[in-house]
Amino acid sequence: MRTEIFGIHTPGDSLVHRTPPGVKILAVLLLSLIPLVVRSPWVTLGGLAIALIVLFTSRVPVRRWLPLAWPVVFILVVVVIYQGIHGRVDLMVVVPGNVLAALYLARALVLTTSGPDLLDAMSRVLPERVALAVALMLRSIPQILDAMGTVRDAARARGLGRNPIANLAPVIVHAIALAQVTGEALVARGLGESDMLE
Amino acid sequence: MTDTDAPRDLALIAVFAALAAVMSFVVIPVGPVPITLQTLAVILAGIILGPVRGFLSVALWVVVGLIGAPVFAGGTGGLSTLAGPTAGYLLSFPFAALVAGGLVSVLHRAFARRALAAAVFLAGLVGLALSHALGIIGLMWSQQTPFKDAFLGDLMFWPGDLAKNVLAVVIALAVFKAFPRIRHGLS
Repeated sequence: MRTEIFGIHTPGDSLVHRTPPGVKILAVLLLSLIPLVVRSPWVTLGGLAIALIVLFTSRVPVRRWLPLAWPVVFILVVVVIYQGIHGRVDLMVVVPGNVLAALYLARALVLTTSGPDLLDAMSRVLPERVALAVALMLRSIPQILDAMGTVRDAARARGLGRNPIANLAPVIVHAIALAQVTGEALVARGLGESDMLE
Repeated sequence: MTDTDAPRDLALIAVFAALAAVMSFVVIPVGPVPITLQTLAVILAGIILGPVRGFLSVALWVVVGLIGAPVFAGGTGGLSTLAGPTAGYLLSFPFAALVAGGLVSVLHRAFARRALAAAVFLAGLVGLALSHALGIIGLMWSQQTPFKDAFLGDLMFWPGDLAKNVLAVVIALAVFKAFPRIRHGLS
């Protein structure tokens, strides 16, 4: 099954690109987890430094990995202000630093690993049905995003551009229809049969 | 549950996990606070799929995100959300779906199969309350902050969540009408 995680994979031949996907997943989890458990500013800064070094050595253009979305920036700013008011300089560093380190490490993983390679690595350790569910989920995201665009255009055309029901209900109905078509396709191919939910 | 139900359930679980990802990308600013539609997707997964499939669906989204796929708010992935102040909310989501999905059947029976809208609203509300409770614990742990501060911080997400719960009711009723067999025993 062909799956690309939102087309953000950036092919290359750097050492980061060539590292086996399974090793990268484990390294990202481990490197993100250590500063989270230790909660020391120096470990956090070390983790963040490693994340940035990995991204720079991947030679993926900085503009592809650096930008942060507003919800992330907002939360980090709130944390820094709150901890600043309470004079907790350690937490001003540790919490945002850990978030950024984990975020950029995960970004390094998906930027330098193709979707199919990631899925392959996961399906080697996950039960077949779970791996299938992961693949179906990732494949469904662009399809639901498409449906969302179509529904939004239709709502605008009816003068309901700001109506949340007109913008959302058809998306959910689309998604369920998509699930039903997918379900029939799985049945037809004899995939995903199991006692998973019994 | 028959053999051919399993693949159909798998597809629903996967697609609702995708829906949670997509709803995480939708950011609506309420004043300076960026609100996503995450909790709408979580409550709908529970209400529409029922407790078990709803739980599995939301858990699938959370686990895939934690492994690194950029499916959380702001297109982030990995353990970043666990490292931040909102870790408790993220981990609460599968259980919020479980509780909302289980409760809606119980309430619907208690209301003698009338007032499905009220059952959905209350079930969603209890699911959200659980999520906020675990979210507050997460805030206290992550920020090493007293309950009072965490509670006040949590309040900023309530107006959006109440609005989303109303949306969930309208959407769930439309879905039960369009797909009467999606949940046995409801509608």
